[in-house]
This record gives sequence, C-alpha cells and structure tokens, in this order.
Amino acid sequence: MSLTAKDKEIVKAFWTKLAPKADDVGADALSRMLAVYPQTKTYFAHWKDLSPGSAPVKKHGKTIMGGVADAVGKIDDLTAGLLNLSELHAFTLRVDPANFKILSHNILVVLAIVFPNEFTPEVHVALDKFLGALSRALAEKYRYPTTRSEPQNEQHFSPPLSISTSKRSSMCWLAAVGICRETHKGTSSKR
Amino acid sequence: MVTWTDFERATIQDIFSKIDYDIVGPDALSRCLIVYPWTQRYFGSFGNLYNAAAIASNPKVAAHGKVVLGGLEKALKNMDDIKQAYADLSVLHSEKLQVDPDNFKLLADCLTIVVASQLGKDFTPEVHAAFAKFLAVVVAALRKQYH
Repeated sequence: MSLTAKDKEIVKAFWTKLAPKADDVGADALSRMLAVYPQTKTYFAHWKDLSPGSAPVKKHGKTIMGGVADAVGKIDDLTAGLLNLSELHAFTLRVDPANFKILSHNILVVLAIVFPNEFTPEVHVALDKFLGALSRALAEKYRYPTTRSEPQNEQHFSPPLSISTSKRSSMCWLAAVGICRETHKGTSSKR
Repeated sequence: MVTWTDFERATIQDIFSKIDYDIVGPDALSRCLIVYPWTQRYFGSFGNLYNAAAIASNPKVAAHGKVVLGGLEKALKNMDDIKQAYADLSVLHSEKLQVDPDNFKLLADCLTIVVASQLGKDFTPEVHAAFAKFLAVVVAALRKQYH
C-alpha cells in the first residue's frame, strides 16, 4: 500500500492546515494514547506526570509532531529520510512497532475533532496510508544488520530530558551519552 | 466478566444519547468501506462502491449503517452481559456472513473517529477511553463464537 501521487498531494495540502495547530494535536494525541491504551504508559515511566495535557506530555507531543512534519517533507522517500529516527526507536527506545499504529489512530481521532469538515473520508484514507508508511519507515531498522558497535550496556534506558531534541534524534546522541564510542562508519557488524 | 465504573456507564449512555444515529451509522460504515477498501468484499450486493462519492451516497450502505448502530444499542441495553447478548450475532457473523473478525476493529476505529467529530471537544480522553472500552468489549463478544 504505497502512497500515490494523489495521496501525497492530499497529505501535503492537509498539512498546511494542520501545521499551525500541530503542537496541540500532538499533545492531545499523546494524552489520548496514554489514557485510552494504558499499556503505552510503560514507555514513559520516567515522567513525573502522565495525565492528559501535563507538561511532559505536551512537550513530547510537540517532539512527535516535529517528526511527522519532517516526514511530510520527506514523503517521497520516507525510509531513507527517517533512517536516524528508525535507529533511535529500534536500538535505544525499543518501542514495539505495534504501538505506532496505536499512536497513528489517536492522531486521526484528534484530527477528526479539530477538523470535523476537512477530515473527509478521502483525507482520512490518505493520512492513514501516510502514517502507516511513516510507521513502516520507523520500523525499518528493527531487525536489520547494522554496522554499529555493540552498546556498552545492554539495558533499556530512556533518553535524559536534558539532551536536546536534535541530538536525541541522531546517531551522534548515542556517542554523546557514551553508549557507543563510534558512529556506524567503519565498525564491524556483530548482529 | 466486565466491570464498568459509574463514570463509564454514564459516559456510554451519554454518548449514545447525544449522537445522531442516522448520521453516525452510515458515516462510520461508509468511512470503513473507503478507508479500508478490502472490507467491501462483504457487500457485493450493494451495487456501486467504485469510489468514495459513490459509497457515501449509496442508499444500501446508509441503511446498513443504521442496522449496525442498532446492533450497538443491544450492547448498550445489556452492558452487564454483552457476551451473552451477542451470542447469536456472533454466530451470524462467523457462520453465515463469514466476516474476518479483524474487520470488527476497523469498523470500531471508524466509529470512534465519526463519534469524535460529532462530539468535538466533549470527546475528552476520559470519554474516549470509556467508549474504546465499550467497543473493545463489543468486538470481543462478536469474536466469541468463531471456531
């Protein structure tokens, strides 16, 4: 189910309407996901407050929609465009990809609330396909031979909030927190 | 055995009292047929389903949307034993209609989206959670008699 030219057109056009409200949409979608699908809270145990509309939820909703905005810009090659984010989700965050679907659904619910007239069935299907393609691109690196060196500690951890967003979403971040000393260039694969 | 909090019971009754059955049922079903086109396989006798406009204006789709919502009313009236209330419906979907039960979730998702757009801001995360639980119980009950 790849994106047709028409799908991409619809997504980009709808995004121009969505962009000014993206932060609120992100916060609401994340709030809903945590409230309606409580198993997703397990990924955010390090937050002080998981209630709808709390500060960490709002902040992270903004981060997520930043990622979606990025994806809209890279809609012609999501797999290549989202490589770093995929590595982050695969090796560091280790989010079960089934949860991408859950978040996508919640984003669509919020869009239905915020844009009751513009979120027509045609827009709905194009966006559903887009979020599906985005999710697949995010899952790309999950079972993939990598040339990264083994992380020093094989344990789950969550990114410290003090690290900036741009650093967190790139390979350099892993070096920054001392997890792997080198980037993926020139190291042998152990997977 | 499903237990409902007072909030959940009240919320679900409230949702159904607020939504317009004649809009929500048809909208949810047509959205399902448009967004997940493989679901059209069960509606071969409905005539023109060739594009979104045709589906949205198809009178058989609209009529059937109302039937589906009527089915949900049955769950609403029997919240303490939806499994039992839906036993016959489950057999019908499994043995006669032969619907892949994964499709129930797709329709439930479309229904959630249509209800959300109808209720707007009133469809808070807490209300959404109660409605999602209700639909999950309904879907589980419909899946029960598949062997």
